[in-house]
Amino acid sequence: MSAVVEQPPAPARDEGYVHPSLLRAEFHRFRSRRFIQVLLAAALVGWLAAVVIGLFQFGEPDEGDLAAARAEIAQMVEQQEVWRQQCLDDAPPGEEESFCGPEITAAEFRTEDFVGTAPFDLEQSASGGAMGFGAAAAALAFLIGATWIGAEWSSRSVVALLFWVPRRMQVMGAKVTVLAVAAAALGVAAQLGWLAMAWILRIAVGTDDPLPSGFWGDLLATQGRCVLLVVFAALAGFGLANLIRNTGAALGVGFVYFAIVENAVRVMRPEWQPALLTNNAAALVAPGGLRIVDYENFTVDADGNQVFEEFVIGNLQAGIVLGVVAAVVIGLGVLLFQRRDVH
Amino acid sequence: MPAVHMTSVSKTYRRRGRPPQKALDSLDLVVDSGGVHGFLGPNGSGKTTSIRVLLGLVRPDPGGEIRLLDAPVPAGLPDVIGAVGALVETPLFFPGFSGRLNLQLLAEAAGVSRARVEECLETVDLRDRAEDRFKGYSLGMKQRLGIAAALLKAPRLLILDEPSNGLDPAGIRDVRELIRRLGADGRTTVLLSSHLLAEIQQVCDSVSILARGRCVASGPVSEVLARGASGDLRVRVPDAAAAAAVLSAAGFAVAPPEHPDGRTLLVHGVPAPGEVTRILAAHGHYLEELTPVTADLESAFLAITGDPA
Repeated sequence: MSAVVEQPPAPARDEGYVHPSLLRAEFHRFRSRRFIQVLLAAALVGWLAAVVIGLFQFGEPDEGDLAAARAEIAQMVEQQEVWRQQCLDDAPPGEEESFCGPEITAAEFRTEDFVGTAPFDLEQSASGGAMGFGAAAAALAFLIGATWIGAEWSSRSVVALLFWVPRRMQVMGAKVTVLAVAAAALGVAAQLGWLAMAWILRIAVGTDDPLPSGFWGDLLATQGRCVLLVVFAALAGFGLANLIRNTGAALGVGFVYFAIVENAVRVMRPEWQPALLTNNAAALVAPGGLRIVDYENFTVDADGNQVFEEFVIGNLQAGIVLGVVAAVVIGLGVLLFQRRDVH
Repeated sequence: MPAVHMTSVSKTYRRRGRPPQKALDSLDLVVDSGGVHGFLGPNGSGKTTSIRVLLGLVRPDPGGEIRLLDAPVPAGLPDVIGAVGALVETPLFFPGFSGRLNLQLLAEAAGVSRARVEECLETVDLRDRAEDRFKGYSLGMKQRLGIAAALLKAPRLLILDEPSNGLDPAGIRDVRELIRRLGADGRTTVLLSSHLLAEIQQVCDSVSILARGRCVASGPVSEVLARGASGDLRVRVPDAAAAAAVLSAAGFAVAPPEHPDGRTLLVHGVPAPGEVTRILAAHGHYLEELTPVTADLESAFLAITGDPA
């Protein structure tokens, strides 16, 4: 400090102190976080790898592939016929057809389903791909949300910020807003990534069959719900890390919940499955929601058939459940931050 | 208008399984505007808690009143925080960011220009290392960056908690010089919390001493020193033993010659040193030295806080 020991001249209030721009600073902080940059770079590498794998996995089958597929179908039909004959021999007289079912023919099978190298079919893959990209982005968003605030608590730089912005709700509000916007951008980027990948695969190794009407509307709706899932995941990660004030501990809690608690519930309390977060996440993004069958509980109908209990979680219901969970976790952390002493 | 005004402020920490701990006990504190005010107290006396309460980080018990630059705390804190710079204990920065980026983010949050960031980096002599990551800084560099952050707002009130921590001697000298200049500029009030009594004595115009969560002494440094002053005189004469006998006969409390040369005496509780001179001269003992034993802040501090250490 030998160079200059004079305090710098005070900036004129009108020049130096423009309107506070906490949000801009928080966006800058978010963009500058190296770990977040590394995670996003890793996601980009993952996307490139997925495209390359897709290019090798799909393709136009040659005559050899088609011949092998037809042979496999023929072998299967033959095998089925043998079993059917045994069934017919054992069946009560007069009830053979109802007991053993109709004869199976090769016409019932699609050759494309039996070739090792099939062309990429956008119509068949669009929804599943969007959900897959959404799930991957949600996991990434959870991690980003947790580290976004967890690292702030670890370095206590969130406390330093209070020397500048003493309204704690404002500080947390800015951080949550930045995260939500960034998560939405990540979700959109992931869906654009899927569309780009699908476009490349369709051009290079796909079918050019026309798409059915309503295809793009349905896909867009699924993708929109996927973006919502990414935002919920980011907020849940943030809320958990803010409550515990530690990224590692928050991820540990997440692991225990997803790996242990949910599996334990599925085994011991299957009727609670509609409340599980992963089921609600799946129900949010899947077209039409999620149908869960509880094979432990069933009734017997008039024909003597077992009717298993089913739970249906709709898109809206799942969205509400996940939204409430994210809001509660964040709200609790923010409330404690607002009320507690900060050291 | 005082820069800081705390009236009957208490703070009790309650932790599960432990008895309540009273960190501040009806603390009254006034820091007048301008100059450098020292904040002194033994460990656990409540200095840092007071600063945290002032900055709204810690919620005080109900009942007291706090005003910072005439704004009530915490309700009015957002109105004046732009004029308050603070360094509390260790600087709190993001370790993965460079020193410059850490300051820029704070500046952006408050709408302070980037040029000001560079000025403050220059002030603390960190411009050459500004692009290094904070986690690579030495303790002294971290402290200097903390001071730069506190200066960013060109504050009217600068609160520094142990700013010399980790600095080398040249750095300590420069920080003290900076604090003195800030205190003398007519617009800045510096509240300096330090455990270095010499630092307070050298730098501060006034001082408050805390003990057990209360302010036990406050005022100009010279006045507080006077409270610990003993009125003792160090007297040097050719024959100390004879001079001691004369002074004892005249009613003075005299300690035995303290110096191995046998020529130095310590006379206690002398209201008028001239009287000692007169009596000794009248008995043929001519002074070689007559020195009032001045109290230092350490003595005053220990006397006031009752700390036997």
